[in-house]
Amino acid sequence: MARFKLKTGVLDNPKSGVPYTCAKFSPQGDVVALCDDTDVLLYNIESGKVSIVSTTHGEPMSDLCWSPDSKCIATASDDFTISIMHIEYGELHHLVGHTAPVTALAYTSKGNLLCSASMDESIKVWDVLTGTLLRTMSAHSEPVVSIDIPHCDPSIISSGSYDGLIRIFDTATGHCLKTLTYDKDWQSENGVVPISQVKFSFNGRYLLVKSLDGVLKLWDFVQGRVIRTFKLGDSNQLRYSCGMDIFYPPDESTAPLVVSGTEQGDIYVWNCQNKQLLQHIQDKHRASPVMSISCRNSYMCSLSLNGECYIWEWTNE
Amino acid sequence: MNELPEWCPPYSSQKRDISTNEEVYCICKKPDGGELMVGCDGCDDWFHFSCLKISSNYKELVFSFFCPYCQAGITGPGSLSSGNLPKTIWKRKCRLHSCYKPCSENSKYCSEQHAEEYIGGVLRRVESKERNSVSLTRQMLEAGDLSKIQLLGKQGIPPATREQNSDLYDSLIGRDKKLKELREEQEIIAKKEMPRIEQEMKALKEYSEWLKAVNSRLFDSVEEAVSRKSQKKKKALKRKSICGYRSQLTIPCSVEDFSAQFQEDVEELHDICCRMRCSRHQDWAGTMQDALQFQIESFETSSQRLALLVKIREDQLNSQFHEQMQRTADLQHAPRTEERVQVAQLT
Amino acid sequence: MANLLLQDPFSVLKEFPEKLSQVIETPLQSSCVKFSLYGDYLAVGCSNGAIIIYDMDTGNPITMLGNRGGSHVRSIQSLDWSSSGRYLVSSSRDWYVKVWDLRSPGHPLKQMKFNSPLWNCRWNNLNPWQCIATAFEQTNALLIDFQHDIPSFKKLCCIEENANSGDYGHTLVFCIHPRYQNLILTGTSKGWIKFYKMNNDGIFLIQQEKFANSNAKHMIISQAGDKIAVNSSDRTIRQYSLEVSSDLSVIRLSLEHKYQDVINKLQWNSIFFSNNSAEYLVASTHGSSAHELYLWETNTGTLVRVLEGPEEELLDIDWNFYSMCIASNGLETGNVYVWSIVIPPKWSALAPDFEEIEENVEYQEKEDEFDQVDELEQQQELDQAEEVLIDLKTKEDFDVRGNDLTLPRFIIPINYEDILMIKRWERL
Repeated sequence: MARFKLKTGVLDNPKSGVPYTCAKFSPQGDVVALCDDTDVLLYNIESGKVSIVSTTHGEPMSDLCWSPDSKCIATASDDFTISIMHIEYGELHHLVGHTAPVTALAYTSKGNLLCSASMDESIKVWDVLTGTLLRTMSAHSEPVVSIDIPHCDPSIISSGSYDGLIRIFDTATGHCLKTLTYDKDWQSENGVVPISQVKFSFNGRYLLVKSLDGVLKLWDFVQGRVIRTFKLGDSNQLRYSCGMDIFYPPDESTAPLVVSGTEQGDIYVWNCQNKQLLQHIQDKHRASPVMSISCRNSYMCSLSLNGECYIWEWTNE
Repeated sequence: MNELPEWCPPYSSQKRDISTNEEVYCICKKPDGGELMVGCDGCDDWFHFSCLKISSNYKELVFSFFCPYCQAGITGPGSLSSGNLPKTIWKRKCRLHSCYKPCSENSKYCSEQHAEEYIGGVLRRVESKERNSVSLTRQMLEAGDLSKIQLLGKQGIPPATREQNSDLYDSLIGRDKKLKELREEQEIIAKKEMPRIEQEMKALKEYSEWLKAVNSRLFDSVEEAVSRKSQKKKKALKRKSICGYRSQLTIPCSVEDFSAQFQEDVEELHDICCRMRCSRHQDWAGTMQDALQFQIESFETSSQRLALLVKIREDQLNSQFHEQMQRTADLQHAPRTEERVQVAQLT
Repeated sequence: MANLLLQDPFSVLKEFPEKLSQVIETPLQSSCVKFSLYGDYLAVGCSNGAIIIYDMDTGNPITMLGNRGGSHVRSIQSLDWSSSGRYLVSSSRDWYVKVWDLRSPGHPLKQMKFNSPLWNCRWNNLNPWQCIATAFEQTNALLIDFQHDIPSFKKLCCIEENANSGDYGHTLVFCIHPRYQNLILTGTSKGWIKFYKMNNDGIFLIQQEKFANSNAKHMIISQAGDKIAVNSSDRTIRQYSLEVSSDLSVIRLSLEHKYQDVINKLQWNSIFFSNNSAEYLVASTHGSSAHELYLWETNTGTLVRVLEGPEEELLDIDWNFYSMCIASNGLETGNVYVWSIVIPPKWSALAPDFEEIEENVEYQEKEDEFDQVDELEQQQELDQAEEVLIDLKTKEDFDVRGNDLTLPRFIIPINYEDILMIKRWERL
C-alpha cells in the first residue's frame, strides 16, 4: 500500500532552547530550508549537504518563504521585520513596517510581490524589487497567523486569524472580497476557535483551513461552503499552530492527500476525496508539536518544535 | 493645545481627598501608597508610573518629565505662553536588550561590562573564535574618536584563507560556480567585446574622415570655380555633399580616384550612396556613432557592476566560511544525541 | 482570476474601462506602449531608443532592454510581444529590428539592420521566428526570418506585382487576420488596402482596394476578424466590415462608418478596437487642443464615452482585455495613462451573512425562513455536500470575461543583481 516512508533525518544536533518553527521545500523540491534561531539552514536532499545563510534578524523566525525562482528566501522574525535573503549574494532587503512579530509570508507566483502577516493584526504587501510597502490590509481584530496565495492566481490572498475569521483579499486593491467563518453563529465575544493555517489547493479553487482545535476544513470559498472536514475525535483548544499541507502524489495513485501535524508529535494523512485516514505516523518527533509540514514532488518534510526534522518519501512498496 | 491621551481623565485641580483630607496626586487623584512615582517638571505634581502606562523598567531613563496636562498645555509652562508645549525627554537606553540603565557619557552602553556583553553577542554571530569581545570592545573604547571606530569595520569581513580549513575553502570558495561565472563575464568584456567595439569605432572614424575629404574635394573645387563668377551662387552650393552611406565601412579607393570617377547624376558609386539630399539614409553616421558610443558606455558600467557583484559574492562566501567554521567547532563540543538518524554533513 | 469571481458581476463585466486609475511616470519621452498578453507587463518604447518594461502589479519599471549593450539609439516605432510572452520584437528609426529575450533582457537576442528607418513590426504567428515589418519608402512590407543565426528577409509581394508595380505608394501599415493567419492586409501611402495570402507555394495578392487619396496611418482588425478600421491622414477613420471566404478567394469589404472630428477637424493619432467582435473603437487625437480618448460604439457609430484625465496630447493606445485596461502615452511628459474598471469595496464582504442593498426595503419573510429545521436533516445536507467529488488540481480554462487562461504566460525573471546595484548606489 502506498504510504510515506522515512527517507532521512535532517538536523543532527538541534540547539536546545531554540524553537524550531518552519521547514520548507524549495520550489524545485531539491532543498529544504529550515529556520534555525536567526539562521537559515539549507539541506540538500540528494547530497545531504548543509549550507548556512545568516540573516540580520535579532530574534528567531516564525516563517520562511522561498521565492518562486528558488533564488531567495524571505524570513519573518519576532523582531517585527522581514528579511529577503538572496542565497548567493546575501540580504537584498530588510523590510520594516510591522509593529509586532511577523508570523507568516507568501510570495505571488511571479515572485514580484511578498505578503506578510503579523501579530499586529495587519497584512502587508511589499514590492520585492524596490523593497517598498505597497499596501496594508487591516481587517482582523486578532493576530493574523497564516496567509496564502494560489500558485496559479496571484489575484487573491487568503488570511487566517486568531479572531476566528478567514478572509479573502484582492491583491491589487487590498479590498476584502469575502469572509468565511468557522461556524455560522460567529461572534467574537463568545470565544471563537482561532484559525491557525490556510492553504489554497493547487488550482486555487479550494481553501484548506486548520483551526487551533486541530480540525481541518476544505472550503469552496466562492460558494462559501465547507466541502470536506477532517477531524480527530474530540480536541480541545490547543497552544501551537501545527503544520499542514496538501500532498499531490506524483503517480496519481490516489487523490491528493491532506497531511496534518499535531501537538503530540503525530502526523495524520487523509485522502481528501473520501476522507479516509491513510496513515498515522507516531514514532517520530518524540511528542514535540509538529510545527511545519511541507510537501513537494514525492517528498514530505516534517519539523517539530524541538528541532527534529524528517524527510518522508511517498512509496508504493 | 494638544489633546489628552484617551486613557487620561480631564484635568482636575483637586489637591486633597474630600472625605479624608489626605493629599492626592496623579491623574487618578489618590494618595501616595508607596508606589513608583515621577515628579512633573512643569506643575510639580507627582504621577504613578502605572497610571501613565509607563513601564517601571524606564525609571532610570527619565531626563525631564512632563505630565499629560503639561504636555497638553493645560498646566505648566505651556499654559502661560503660546509657545512650544513641553515634552518628556528620555535618556538613551543601554544597547543591551535586557538592560534599562541609561548610557554613560560618550557611550552606547551603561557600563563597560555591558558593552562587552553586547559586542560578544554580535561577535558570536559573525566571528570565529580568534577575536574575543573584550579585546574588540577595548579597541573600540580606546579608539576614542568616531573616525577611528568607523575605520574598524572598513576592511569588511576578514577574508577566508585556505590555511584555516583547506577542504572547506576549496569546496565553498575555490569551486564556487557563481564567482567563476562572474569572472568569466568580466574577461569576455575586457578581452573580446570592448576591443571589437573600439575597432568598429575606429573604422567609422576613418571612413567619415575619408568621406569628408571626398566631399570637400568634390564640392569645394566646384565652389571655387563658381565663386569667381558669383558670390551668391557660392552660398547656395556651400552645403552640398553626397550622402556617403556604405553598408561596409571600408574605404574603397583613394579620395582622388573617387572624385575622378564621380558624376553628379549617378546614385551609387562603389556601393556608396551619392545622392545629394538623401532622406533615406539621413543621419546614418550620427546613428551609428551613437550606437557604438552607447555600447562602449554599457560595457564600462557592466564591468563596474561585475566587479561589485564579485565583491558581494566574495563577502557572502567569506561570512558563510566563518559561520561553517564556527558550527564545526560547536559540533565537536556538543553532546551527541543517541537517536541519530543520519548525520547531516557539514560539508 | 478568482478576484473577479468574488466581486459584483455587473461591475466586472463592463465592456470598457471608465476611470483613469494609474499614471506611470516615465523618465523619458515615450513613443509607443504595448501590454503583454495577460496585461501584467507593459512595454514602453521611447524616442531615444530605450524600451522599458513595467510591472503592472507594482507600477514600477522592472527592466530596460539592452541596458548592458545593444539598445536602440533612435525612436522606437513599434513593439510586439510574442505569443509565448517571452520575446519582444522592436522596430526603430535607427534602421534596426531587434528581438529581445526577456529571460536575459540586457542584450538583444537577435537583430537585423536595414538601410533605412523602420515603421511597424509584428510577429507572424504562423512561424514563431518570423516578423513582418514596414520600412521607409518601401513598396512592400518585409518578412523577416530570425530562425537562423544570420537573419534574412524577403519582400511581401507576388511576382506579378514586381513586373507591373503600378503606383500604389509605399506600404506603411499592415495587420494579420486573426482567424486566417496567412491572410495579411497592408495599407499604403496612396490610400490602398491590399490583401495577400501566404502559403507554401508563395505569396499571392488576392485583392486591392482604394479607400482614400491619402496615406494610411494605422490599420486595425477586430479579434473576430469581421471588422477593420483604417486611420488616414485625411482626418478620417474608416470602419469596414470584412467578409472572407474560408478558401480566402473572395473578400468583401464594405464601409460601415467614418469617424471625423467635425468641429476641430483634428487628425487621429492612434486607434484600437475592443475585444471579440469589436463593439467599441477608441482613438486619440492629434494636436494640443484635445487631451482625451474618444470611444465609439461601432454598430451605430455613436460616441459613447470620452476618457478624460490627462492634460496633454495622447499618442499610442493599447487595450488589454484580461485586465480590461486602456493605456495611452502623453506627448509632452511621456507619462503613460491607464484607465481601468474600478470596483468600489463592499463592506458586506467583511461581515458574512450580510447583504448590501441600494436603499431601504421592507423586509419580506421567506416562506420557510423560521420553519423548524430538523437537525438530522440539516446534518444530512452538510454530509451530502461533503460527498460531491472535488478536483484540487485542474485549473480553469477561461476567466469570467471569457479570456483564454490556457495560453502560455511568461514570467520575467527578477533581476536580483540590479537590486543589489541600486542598494549599493543608495549607500554611496
